[in-house]
Amino acid sequence: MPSNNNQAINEFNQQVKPVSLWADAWKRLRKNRMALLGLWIVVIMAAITIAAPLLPLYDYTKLDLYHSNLPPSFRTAGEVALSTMQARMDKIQGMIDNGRKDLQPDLDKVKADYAKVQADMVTNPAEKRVYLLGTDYLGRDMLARTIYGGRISMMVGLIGTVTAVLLGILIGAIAGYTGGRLDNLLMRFVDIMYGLPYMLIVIIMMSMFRKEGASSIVILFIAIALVSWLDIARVVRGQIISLKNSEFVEAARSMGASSGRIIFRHLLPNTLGVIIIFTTLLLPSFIMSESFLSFLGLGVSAPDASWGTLVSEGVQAMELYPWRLLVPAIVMTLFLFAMNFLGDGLRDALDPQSKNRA
Amino acid sequence: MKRILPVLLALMATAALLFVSCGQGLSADHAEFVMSNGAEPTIDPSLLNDVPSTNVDLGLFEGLMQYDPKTNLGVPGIAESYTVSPDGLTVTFKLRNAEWSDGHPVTAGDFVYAMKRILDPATASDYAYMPAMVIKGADAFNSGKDTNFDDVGIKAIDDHTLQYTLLGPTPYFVNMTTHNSFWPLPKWAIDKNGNNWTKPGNIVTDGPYILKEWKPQQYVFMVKNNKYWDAKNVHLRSIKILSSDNQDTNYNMYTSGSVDWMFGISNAKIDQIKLRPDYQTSAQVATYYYEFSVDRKPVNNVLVRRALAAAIDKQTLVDKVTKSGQIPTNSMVPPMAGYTQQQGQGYDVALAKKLLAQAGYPNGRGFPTITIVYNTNDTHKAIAEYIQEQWKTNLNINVVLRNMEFKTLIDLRTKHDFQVARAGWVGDYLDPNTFLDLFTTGAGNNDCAYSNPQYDKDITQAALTQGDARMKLLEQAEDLLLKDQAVIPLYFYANQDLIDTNKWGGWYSTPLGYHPFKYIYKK
Repeated sequence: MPSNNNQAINEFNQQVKPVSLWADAWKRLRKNRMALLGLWIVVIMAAITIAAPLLPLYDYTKLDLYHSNLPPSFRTAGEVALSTMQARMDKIQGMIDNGRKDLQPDLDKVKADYAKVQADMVTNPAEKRVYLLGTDYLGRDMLARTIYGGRISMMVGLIGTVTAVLLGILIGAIAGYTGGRLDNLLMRFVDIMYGLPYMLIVIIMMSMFRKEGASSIVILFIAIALVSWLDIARVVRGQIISLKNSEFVEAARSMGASSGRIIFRHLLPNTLGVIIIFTTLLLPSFIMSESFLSFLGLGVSAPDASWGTLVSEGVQAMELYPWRLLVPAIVMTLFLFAMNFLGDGLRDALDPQSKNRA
Repeated sequence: MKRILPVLLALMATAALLFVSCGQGLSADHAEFVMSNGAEPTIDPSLLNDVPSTNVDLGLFEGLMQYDPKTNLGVPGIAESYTVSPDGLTVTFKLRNAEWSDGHPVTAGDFVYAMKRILDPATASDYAYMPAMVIKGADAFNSGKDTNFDDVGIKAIDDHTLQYTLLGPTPYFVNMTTHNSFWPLPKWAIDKNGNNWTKPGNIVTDGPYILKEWKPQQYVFMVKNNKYWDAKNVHLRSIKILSSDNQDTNYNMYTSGSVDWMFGISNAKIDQIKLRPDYQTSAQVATYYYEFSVDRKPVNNVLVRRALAAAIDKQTLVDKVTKSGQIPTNSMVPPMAGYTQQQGQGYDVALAKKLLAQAGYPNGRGFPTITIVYNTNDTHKAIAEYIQEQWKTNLNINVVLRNMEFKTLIDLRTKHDFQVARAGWVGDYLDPNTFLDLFTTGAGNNDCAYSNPQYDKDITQAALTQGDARMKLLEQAEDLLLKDQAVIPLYFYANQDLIDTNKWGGWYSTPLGYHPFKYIYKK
């Protein structure tokens, strides 16, 4: 009340620094700790997989048959191999002592391998390797395989998402803006595509086009992208319809803007929030689809690996060599969780109507 | 009155239980013996060409001879006895009084009909070449050159006498009649139901069991055939054969006790399983090999094929990848009495590089990416990955792996629509011939489309010859096959079965891997 000024200060007469939608969203996202954690995990994992060729990793395709099924360890491969073989020899010796004389040849084989690795310890640099996350059934480094597997899985997710988003936006925007017969035609087509079982189409495509020489990964990309734009198209169409009669569109139209300009300069930027949210949620679903296909044996072909193929290989031996399943499964789950948290956070941050706003 | 009610209920429950237990063994859920087998594409004896289908049919059908449970040599089945003429060209079987499952007698005519059906070019049987190799006139009829079946050397003298006229004195002919391409078939059932004659209810069989239920991709259920001539010596009342291809599922079912016999062990678990007391293993008369479709680029060049063969270290393959007693080999024919195996190209990296350079691809430069096709299975996958890496390291060439269902693989192989394919061959009878005649020009199982007139001549000639001279001809043929490198033999199989022989009797680890259900009994 002691004021020299006659005017009272209230919230309506202040100069407020304008805050853009994006800055506002970022501010809100930063407050959402789970989303931020998700963002960090995604960024770090993506960075690792992109930089994989620069990292000091062992070749993920190189077999070393004396190092098969080694458990995760900080010790050198030679030492780990020797101690696993020692354990096996003790086990077989115990069984032989209990009357299983028929196992003698098995024991001799392990003994021979033991001697071979022991002799190699000094001379062979391969014995000095350290397999932090263990090895698989052909002695390939699980760490390298998981990272390179992530490359393929993420690439499938990314390419699938980008194609889906581009196609979906294009078709959704055209249908929504034009309306009428074209809208009807496009949307009925989408309905029909929806009616077809998605996985079945992908599987049929995969088995039809996987011919000699053709890299199965490209077909996988195409197969996944072709049937994945439907959701986006519907959402974008709905958004465009609800916006196309607003004042700013009318203003643009009265100034003589073309349809293309109105769609791409005025309408789409207003639906971008929804699109971004959808994208972050689509990506994990593509990774899951790819894993599922790989699990069925239709995914990428060896020696390449994706998280899906690694998990499917690991399942076969999960009782004996659990790390072969756990390593890729945990990494994949972590990535999918992070991606989903990030997507959730983005939705809360970008959607002005969201009740979960931080 | 109140007291009586619980008693009545208890009585009813007991009665229900009794009723259920009486039905035991006759419904698929209570089969006495359960085996996991892998998917069976067909059960028509004229059409089958794979191990799972054969396993099923060994329960349903019986030929003149049947497999001995220990040696897998032929012992009298529908035939009571046989005589071979002094020149070895005529074999006469005397049939016993056997009946089909619908009560018809099994007559010599049923054998003649079956032979006509399998040789008929319209049937397109993959195994037609087998009788065609040995029976007089059969090849001409099978290839359509002679449409008069009377010219084929099989004749029903009367209902109980069947006479074969052979191309040459074939010492293994009697053993051969254990094979499905020589079994009798019920003409009336096939005429009535056409392609559906193998459906339960339609099918008529002469073996120890009758087909009761068949759910493709799930299971085959069969029950004892009381009309079988030797029914009193058939012990198991019912058998369920599961179609699961997944070795992990099979193993889990085995350890939980819901499967009594399984074969084919998951490679991932072999280290553990081979220490089990109920793990049965022995050498099998069977070869695991990679085959080339010899008209396909770039494997149409024999130098390329030899280079690929020389670049595989097979010893390491069996020691470190398959790990269960397989024997590495450079020969197509497994060890057999009286036969000297021919040695094909062994492991020799320097030579492999040189051969590839001679073929026009020095250090793998310009060599197109080739594809190995195999059926989905972790052992086949590990082997394919190993070979992929060997070829990459030793020859610097790129290889793509492509897996598929077994049926699809067989289809591709039959159409010669591949470059390199995984294949395995289990002997149909104990003679080198069974590993060689499949590569004659146009033979149904000649997936390689291999064709060498000299080879065909040797094999045909061998069928007309006896003793050492015959073996010489077969050796010569194997040598040719290996020199042309239509195939890369990798190893001889080891039988890998899980069955508790303390619980089940009449089951033995056999050289051909056939285990007739008839002899199996619960101890």
